[in-house]
Amino acid sequence: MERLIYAAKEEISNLDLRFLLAALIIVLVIGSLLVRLWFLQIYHGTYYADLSLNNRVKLRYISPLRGKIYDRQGTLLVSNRPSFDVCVDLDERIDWTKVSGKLSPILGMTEDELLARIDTGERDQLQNTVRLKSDISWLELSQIETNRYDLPGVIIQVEPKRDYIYPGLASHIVGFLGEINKNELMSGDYKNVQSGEYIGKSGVEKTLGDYLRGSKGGRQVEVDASGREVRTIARQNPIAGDDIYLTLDLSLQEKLQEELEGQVGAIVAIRPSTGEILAMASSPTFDQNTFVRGMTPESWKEITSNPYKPLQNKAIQGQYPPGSVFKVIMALAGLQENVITEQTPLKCTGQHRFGNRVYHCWKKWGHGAIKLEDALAQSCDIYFYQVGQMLGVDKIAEYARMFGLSQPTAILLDHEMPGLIPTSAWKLKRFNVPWQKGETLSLAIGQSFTLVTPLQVARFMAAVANNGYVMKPRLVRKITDNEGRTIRLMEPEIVTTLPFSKTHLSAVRKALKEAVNGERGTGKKAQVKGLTVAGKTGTVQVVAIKDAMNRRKLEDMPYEHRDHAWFTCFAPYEDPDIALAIIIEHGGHGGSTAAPVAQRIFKSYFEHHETSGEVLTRDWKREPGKKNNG
Amino acid sequence: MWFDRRLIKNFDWILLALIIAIIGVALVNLYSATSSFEGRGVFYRQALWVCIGFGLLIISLFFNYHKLEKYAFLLYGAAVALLLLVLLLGPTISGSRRWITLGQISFQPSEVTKLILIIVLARVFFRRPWSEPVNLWELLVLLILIGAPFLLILKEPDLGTSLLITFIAASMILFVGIRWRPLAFMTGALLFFTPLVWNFLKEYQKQRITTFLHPDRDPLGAGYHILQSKIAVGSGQFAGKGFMASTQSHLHFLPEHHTDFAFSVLAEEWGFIGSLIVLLLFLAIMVWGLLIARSSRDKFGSMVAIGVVSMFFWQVCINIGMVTGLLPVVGVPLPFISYGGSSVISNMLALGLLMNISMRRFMFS
Repeated sequence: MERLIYAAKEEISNLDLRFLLAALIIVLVIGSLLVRLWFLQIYHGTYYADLSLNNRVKLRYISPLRGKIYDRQGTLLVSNRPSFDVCVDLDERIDWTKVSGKLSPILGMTEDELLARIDTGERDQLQNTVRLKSDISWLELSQIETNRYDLPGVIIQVEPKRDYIYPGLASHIVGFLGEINKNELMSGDYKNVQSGEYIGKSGVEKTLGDYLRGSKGGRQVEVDASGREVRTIARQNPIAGDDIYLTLDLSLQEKLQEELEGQVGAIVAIRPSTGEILAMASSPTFDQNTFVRGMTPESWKEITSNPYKPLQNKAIQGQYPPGSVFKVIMALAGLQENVITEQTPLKCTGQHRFGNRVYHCWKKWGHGAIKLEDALAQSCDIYFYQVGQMLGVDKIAEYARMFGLSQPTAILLDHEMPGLIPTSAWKLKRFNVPWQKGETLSLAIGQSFTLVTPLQVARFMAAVANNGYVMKPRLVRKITDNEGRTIRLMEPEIVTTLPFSKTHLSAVRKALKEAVNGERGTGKKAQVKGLTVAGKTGTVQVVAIKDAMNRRKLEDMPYEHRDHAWFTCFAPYEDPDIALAIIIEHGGHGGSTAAPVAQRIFKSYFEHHETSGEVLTRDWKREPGKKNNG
Repeated sequence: MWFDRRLIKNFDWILLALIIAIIGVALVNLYSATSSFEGRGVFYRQALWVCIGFGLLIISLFFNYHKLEKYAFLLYGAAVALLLLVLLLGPTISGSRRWITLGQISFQPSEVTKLILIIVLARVFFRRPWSEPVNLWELLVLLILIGAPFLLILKEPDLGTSLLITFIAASMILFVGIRWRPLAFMTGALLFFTPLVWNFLKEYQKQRITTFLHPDRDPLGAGYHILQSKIAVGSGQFAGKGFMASTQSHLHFLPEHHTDFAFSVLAEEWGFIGSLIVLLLFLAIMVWGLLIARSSRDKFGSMVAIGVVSMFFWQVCINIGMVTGLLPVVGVPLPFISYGGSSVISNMLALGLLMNISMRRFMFS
């Protein structure tokens, strides 16, 4: 019993010790906090009081340099130039009438204008400043700097402004900047961007905005009682954005845009082995620098009211019926499904009866008994009506989808349209009417409800050229950080491996070669001396004209009624380096309007470039994605 | 729930006075801190939470705290469940998921977890004699018990509160006593896991810690906040600038001036004198809490009281240390003085527990 009490007593006194220790620790720590407070408030009190007076420590942000954009050879396309803005600091209690009096003659604005801006102009929330004038001239800048003493509260902010070195060239791909709006701010996609700052609004400026943007820097500055900067307390340098190297070839891009001058349409140039976009042009185009300089309402109206929509990138947003270009897919589908062979002749008499309707071939009296190669090279409609009948709409749609149609290509640009491939299910859903067998005929020659974009066409042509691989279209070669170190290197990517045998692909390619180089080929105007070009023409009816006889000469028809002209091709035939898709809206006949464009493009391109040095064995065994040095 | 004369006789009036004093100071300070910024809304909300908290405190006094012994693990399970719920369903506000909202009211489970962890730890310890320190096996169990909420809170991400509960738990364990071997193991494990936890942290949290070590490296973010806070505190000098006169917070230089940096406003307006008084008030509560722990007859009550004291101790130290530039910015609120409904409630209930234990010190369950 005694032992228990003794043990309990010991336990308790041991316990008391712990409490004492705990209390001591608490007092000590609290005590040291008090010492710290004394240190700040008493010892350094006057120093801090001084700093707090008139809000003397401020934050001034430094904008980072936006990343630059280059073409594949490293030619600079988009850069930055400095722009100087005049701002006033609203935290200062300053007699603004005096200041605006001084500023008025320098800036060329009336005192009332300046005062109005100071009163009601939009504020930068973080720095509590208002911008009076942006992008001032060197003269204005030097005048303000020399008169600094008389202009308290006036700050010069240096802002980098975008410089689009080749206005109108690749405008849709590169894109442009604009001020961030409310919806974008609230969306949460732009975490480090404040109101009043600029973000990419279209093109690569938008989709790769996170790389290009860089990070802000800033300074902690001490200002005196009048708001003049006394010293910089601390500084953090901004980090410039990453640089983007596009796959575009500037000289090719120039050539493409030149060819589209005065027309409405688009051209896409893609490298079959890698899926790189060598050039992509859309017409009409626009000058991005007008967005940088600050657009007047008039120039904005001019752009938006242009019926040919210059801001639209027709290469990915334009959806057109493919016309005869679709026959390439029909041919391969037919071969694969074994409803035709290269040797099977089908009869074309110029007329084809189906149901209670008569369908025509473009050649009035027909092609006679015709085999695949000629049917494709001469674009016989009736041959393909029959192929279409044998396959049926849903089978055709299946193959079309394999080639990447009816889906976006997921290229690194905004607003890409997917196109459309009709199926019987789709028609039922959309129109509540079942698919009519007769519609398959127009489907087979690329009319009906089908819609494709020029990019999709270039891509499927490339898939035929590279022996059966549908590639992902790539716009970016590599991304480097601001010190030149590569942070991302783009690799070619195969989206779909087509099921067609090499023999079939080879046969179709041969037919395409014949279309350009053969006697009766529809694409003769694309011939280039010393180069073997292979391709397919297409002519899309915009207005239904019942009788072929009634079709007038192109020049006699109103513009809107003229057919769209397609031509898609690749070259060189033996070792395809480029695949093109050209569409000229209301250009008339594919063979006469679009094919010559291809000829001129290839001529110019191959004069200046060597082929890509792709490894290609005799039996067309090819490894896509081999790095090229083009 | 029955009324014993002894409860009234042993009612802890001193503690009540301390509570009222600190609440009074806090509300007055908050009134000034929010007068120009978001307007009265914040102040009224806090006042409402204080009233609700105080009401809950009074109600809780009717219940014998020993009941918590039974429900300790249940509460722990509920806390962990709530923490999981927050991570899965909570809205993301300013990049973190800390709250559960029910209509207009949002509630931070991590705040309540502090208290529940204290209760659970007390429950685990209370059967052992004081003289027996914690051994390795018990330590492992404790690690799991503490580790779960720690990680869940860390994931929110809320570095401050997760560290806080670790410190509270460590204080309680150290008080119970620990052999040197488990202690060595613990320290070793800590050193081992720190780089792991470091990877868990978000960029801005890592930044805050490196900023603390090198404030000149982040002049735009946390470095700026700390500088402004020191200016605010220091400029209060001896007697402060006076009520409603703090220029730093009113003119938007001090961000978060009603939450983490509420003390800066107080120091600026009431100076050294004001800061001293507040610190002394907190000190009084802590020492009084220790006395309550000592005088409590059963170990559970003592342990809970010790836990509550350490909860206040660490909150006060970390927040004021942060505000004066001694510690990195980790977002730990100062009890009652910082705005935050859940914080008010959990601190209020904690003090309620102290009162509860104090009232019943002559009763045996």
